[in-house]
Amino acid sequence: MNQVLIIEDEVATASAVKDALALVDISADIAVDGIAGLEAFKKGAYDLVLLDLKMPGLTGEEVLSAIRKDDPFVDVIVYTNYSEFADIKKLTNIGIDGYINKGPDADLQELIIAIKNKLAPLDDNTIDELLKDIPEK
Amino acid sequence: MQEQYLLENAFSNEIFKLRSEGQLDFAIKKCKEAVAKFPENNFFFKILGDIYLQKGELLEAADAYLENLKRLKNHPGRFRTFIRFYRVFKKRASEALDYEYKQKIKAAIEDGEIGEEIAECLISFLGNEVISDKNLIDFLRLVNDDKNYSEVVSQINNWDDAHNIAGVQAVLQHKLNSDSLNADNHNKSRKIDAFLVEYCEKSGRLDSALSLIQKTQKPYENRAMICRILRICRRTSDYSFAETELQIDEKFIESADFNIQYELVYYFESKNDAARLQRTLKAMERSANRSIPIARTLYNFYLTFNKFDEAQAVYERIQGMEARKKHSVSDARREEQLESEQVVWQRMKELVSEQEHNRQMMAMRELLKGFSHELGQPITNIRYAVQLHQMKMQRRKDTPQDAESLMKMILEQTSRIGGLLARFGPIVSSRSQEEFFSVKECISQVFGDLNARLQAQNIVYSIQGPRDIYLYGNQTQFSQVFYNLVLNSMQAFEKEGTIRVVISGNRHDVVRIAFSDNGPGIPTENHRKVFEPFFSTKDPTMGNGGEGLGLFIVWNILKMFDGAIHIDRAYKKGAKFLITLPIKKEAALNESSINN
Repeated sequence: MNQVLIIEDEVATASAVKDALALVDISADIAVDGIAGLEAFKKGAYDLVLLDLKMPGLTGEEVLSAIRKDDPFVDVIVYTNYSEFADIKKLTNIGIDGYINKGPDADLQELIIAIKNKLAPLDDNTIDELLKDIPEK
Repeated sequence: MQEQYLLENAFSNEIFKLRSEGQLDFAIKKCKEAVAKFPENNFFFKILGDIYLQKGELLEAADAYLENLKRLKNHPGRFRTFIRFYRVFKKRASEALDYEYKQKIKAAIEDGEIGEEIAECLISFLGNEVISDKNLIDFLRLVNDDKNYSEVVSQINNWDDAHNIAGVQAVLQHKLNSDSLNADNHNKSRKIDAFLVEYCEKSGRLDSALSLIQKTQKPYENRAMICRILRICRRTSDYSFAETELQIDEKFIESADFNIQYELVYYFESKNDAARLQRTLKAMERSANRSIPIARTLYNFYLTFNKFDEAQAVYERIQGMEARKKHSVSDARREEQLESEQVVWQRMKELVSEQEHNRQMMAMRELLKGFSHELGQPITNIRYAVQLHQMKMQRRKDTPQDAESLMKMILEQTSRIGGLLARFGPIVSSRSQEEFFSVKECISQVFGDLNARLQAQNIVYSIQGPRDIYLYGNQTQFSQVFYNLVLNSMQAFEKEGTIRVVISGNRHDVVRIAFSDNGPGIPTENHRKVFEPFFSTKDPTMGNGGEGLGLFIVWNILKMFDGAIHIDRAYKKGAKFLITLPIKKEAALNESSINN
């Protein structure tokens, strides 16, 4: 089972995402600020990090840089509820794998699909199809 | 004295009456009586001259006016009436009569019968024919030939040092008036003429300088002279002379040297001709490659016109040039450089006065940005909660408890939005009522309202100052300032603390309020930021405000009172805010009514 780390200061938001991920069999932990997030990231083995950009204390950007130092390959999806705060170009250079809007455009379904696609780009049927094509010895 | 004045008045009234009835001879008779009676009064001579002129008796008119001149003492202001007279006289009089009259004036000047300043006026108005000074007349012959250049220059400089205005004036008048100067003469005295132009410009006779240029410097081939024309026009804030005399077109810009380009920048700026201004600056770039002072001037221009990218590029080039060689700066360049720097400072000053406005705009933008962020949080929460519930329903995994907690969550988040809006109440409230209130009483009431909480936290406070300083405005808003400041201090205290408020100032002008606490204080790096909206060091989830609006609201309310708030940087024992508020004039005027 895939493991996701949600770094988000709004507990209500994080809980909703965690519950929604649970519905699609993805397990998630919540960290309420950047420092807690980095601690959790170093301890656990996460397949994907969902990172809020605007938090008290460490900013999302700082957290992202620290994660990238530690692990250049883990999937990181950033999201924020105010797009002007995000310097996407800069974030892309540090390394992000996705960007999702919160706020008035917030769509939980879209977020879950984005996470799922990162973790398992191919659905079960496609995998079966592909497996069939492998020539048997 | 009074008696004489009345008598003079009686005479002039009578003369006026006779004149308007057309009885000119009687008027003249009356005038002569008046002249006999008041021989020192110039006025009756003027009237006498006017009546003679009306009758067409030019000689008598001229004589009367000469007597008038003799009595003008040194009142050059009254010389205008003579100018008006002489213009009419000259049109009607024969050349001989005019000559004779000028000789009479000359004699009067020679005999010292005419005041010095009036004599100067006469010389500059009538030209060298009335100049009594033999040396001066000889000198005027010299100025027509460049052979005498050094002599002329030293004489004029001497006059200038001795403040002999009459001499200089005579030379200028000679140059400007003499129609006899033909093209040959001009060529012969071109150098002297150029010197005179320069002298006029330096001594601030800008109109004379332009007239002299027009009369003696055509065609304009000399670059320094072209530059001078533009510069004088700039100084008089009127480019019409340059526009009629020069053909300022693309070719002109391209062929101009740096000094002319420099003037062209100002010219196109005054014309709001951005395209040509840009072209001129471009043309300047070429000269800027050669010289650091030119490059600096260009840099200043770019700054002045808010072309920061270009300025940056020039700046880098200057640094490169400076690194390559040490450079000696000619004085002329230095002057232009200084001048353009002054323009930059002027522009900076304007910007500073705009700064307060910009600060408000920035604060507004930050507010809206912060606002949409703050609103975004509860909106996200509501949407996610609803969408999560939908996902559960699709999977038939929803329970009644889920629905219950969904609704609870929506209500919580909407009241969060409501709370955010309520924080702006003091600013946007229109129910407000404007009234006089005592500053001290208003502040005391705030502390009174918060007394229970202050006591619970072991916070003591003191409010000092006179009770009779009044402000006019919305008292509820004003008290909000102190609610926010007190709450701010309370949150900063670990467990106990002291708050001091000191009110001072006078009752008519300004009130100063110092608000200080002995808490941890505000770190220097935050001094600028604390009044910005949504700046907070507190945890917003604690439920005690903390969204960073308190001091922003304080700042806004004080703005409404035309006041200001600052942090006392020198205060190290805690946080100290200094508030100043003007007491409005009308409020001060009405003050007595509330004291009664």
